[in-house]
Amino acid sequence: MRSKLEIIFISISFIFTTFLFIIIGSLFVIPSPQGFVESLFSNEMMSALKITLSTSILAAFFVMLVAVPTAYSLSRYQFPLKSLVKSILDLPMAFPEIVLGIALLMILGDQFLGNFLESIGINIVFTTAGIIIAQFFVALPYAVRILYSTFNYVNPRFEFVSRSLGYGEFETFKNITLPLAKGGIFASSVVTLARCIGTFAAVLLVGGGTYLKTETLPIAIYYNLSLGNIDNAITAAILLVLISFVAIFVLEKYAYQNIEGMG
Amino acid sequence: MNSKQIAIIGIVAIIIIVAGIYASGIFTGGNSAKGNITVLAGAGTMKAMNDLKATFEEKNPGTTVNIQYGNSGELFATLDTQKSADMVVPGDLTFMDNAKNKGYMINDTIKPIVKHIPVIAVQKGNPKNITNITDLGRSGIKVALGDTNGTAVGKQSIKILNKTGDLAAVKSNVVVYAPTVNQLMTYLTSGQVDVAIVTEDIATTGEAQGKVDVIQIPENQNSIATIGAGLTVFTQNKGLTTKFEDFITSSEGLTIWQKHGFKPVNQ
Repeated sequence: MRSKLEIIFISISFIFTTFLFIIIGSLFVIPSPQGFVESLFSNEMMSALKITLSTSILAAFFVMLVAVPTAYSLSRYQFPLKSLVKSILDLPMAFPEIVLGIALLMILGDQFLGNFLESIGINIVFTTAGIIIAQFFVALPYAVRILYSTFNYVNPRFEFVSRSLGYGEFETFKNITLPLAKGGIFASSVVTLARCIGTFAAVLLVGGGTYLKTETLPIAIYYNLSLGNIDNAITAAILLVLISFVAIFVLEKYAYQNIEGMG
Repeated sequence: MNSKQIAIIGIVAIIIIVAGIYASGIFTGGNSAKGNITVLAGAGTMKAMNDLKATFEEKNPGTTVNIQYGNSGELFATLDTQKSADMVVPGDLTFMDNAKNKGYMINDTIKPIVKHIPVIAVQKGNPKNITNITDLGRSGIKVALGDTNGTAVGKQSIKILNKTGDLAAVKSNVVVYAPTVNQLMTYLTSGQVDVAIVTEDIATTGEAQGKVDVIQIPENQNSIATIGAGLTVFTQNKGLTTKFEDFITSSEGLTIWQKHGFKPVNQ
């Protein structure tokens, strides 16, 4: 016999999951199969898919390179202004990404960094490099967040034991900490990648959203809606749902097992 | 937690949900309430239309004008799929031809109102010394245009460049085709581009005012669109909708349009 609380809570999860499922599922019934296939293999969709995946994978890779040491120091070390660093890192999660987009645009504008970068031949705004930078800053806070709790769960005692057995700091980090945090690192990579793929406003502003050049899938949805080309817009949306589904599926299957097994 | 507490949480949750639904206007926005009309309007008309709506509502207490903004494609898709809306105010009158062909418009209600005039917008003080369309093709000039399919001003830009014969030269200078017109002003004021082709109302009013310099395009080179209004066959409240159309085309309405940088068609 289930308790009342159990029944109520389970019903709430079921009701709203069903709503969400119906909402997402409705996307798949709108376009005709023909229309879907046609838009899927159109020049625009293939280009948007390619741009989205290549920029997101690169951005996610750079995010992880930065997020692992950042999260580890937040979790293990005491240093001045630590709580300030933590708050600043969390900040972009709370405000809309367009704020980040406009800020990036301003700092990359003529007055500041932009002049210098341009003089050494680096163009960021209106290029795929701009897309990657926008995705990087949008996704970084999420990666740091997840990795921070991951490292908090890794028992420092294992690290102490390793050190006391004569292993150096780097060897310990590489052979003890990272393997123990494997699940969390995997989970945050997937979430980071998903976040990079889904970035819209910041990527639109910094990348420019030019057709076939800096048009990512989320921009393709917006662009085709504005043209009244519903088939293309929905196809891009379905592609995003499918990519997210694969990401989340992989996450559920592998990452959580590892986190549970971590002890 | 005992059942009493669960009940309290349940009641609070229900109250919040009901309050939320009321606040969202699902129950109050229906067609049955008198004095409500829905207008589909071009995104470029937003500031002027919001002002016209506020003035109209103030003069006619109890009426509500709901305006949905979008560019031509979005507006047409909305009309096509929803088959509702009392009136359309597109950024270009050619929209009306398509809508008429589909039988969506009450033909004798279509009226031209103001002009949508493309201009050259440059950074304050005109540091690159741009004086005409041909200058956009000079080497080293960074140009931003609206997307040539998705935005009205993007389409107009191509027409202008075709007329002056500068299309090829300018195209090689274009660093971005922006899918939204607002991006163009942002890129110009933030120094990312030297010049953009935008409509006059955007460059001369609101936030952009005083931050960019405007260069007029001679009329024989220009591609000027007309903003107009018309009632749809789906209207549920023809009386009020006609009243609103009369207001936005009246001399008082035209003053409001002019305040936002638009020129009346008969000027």
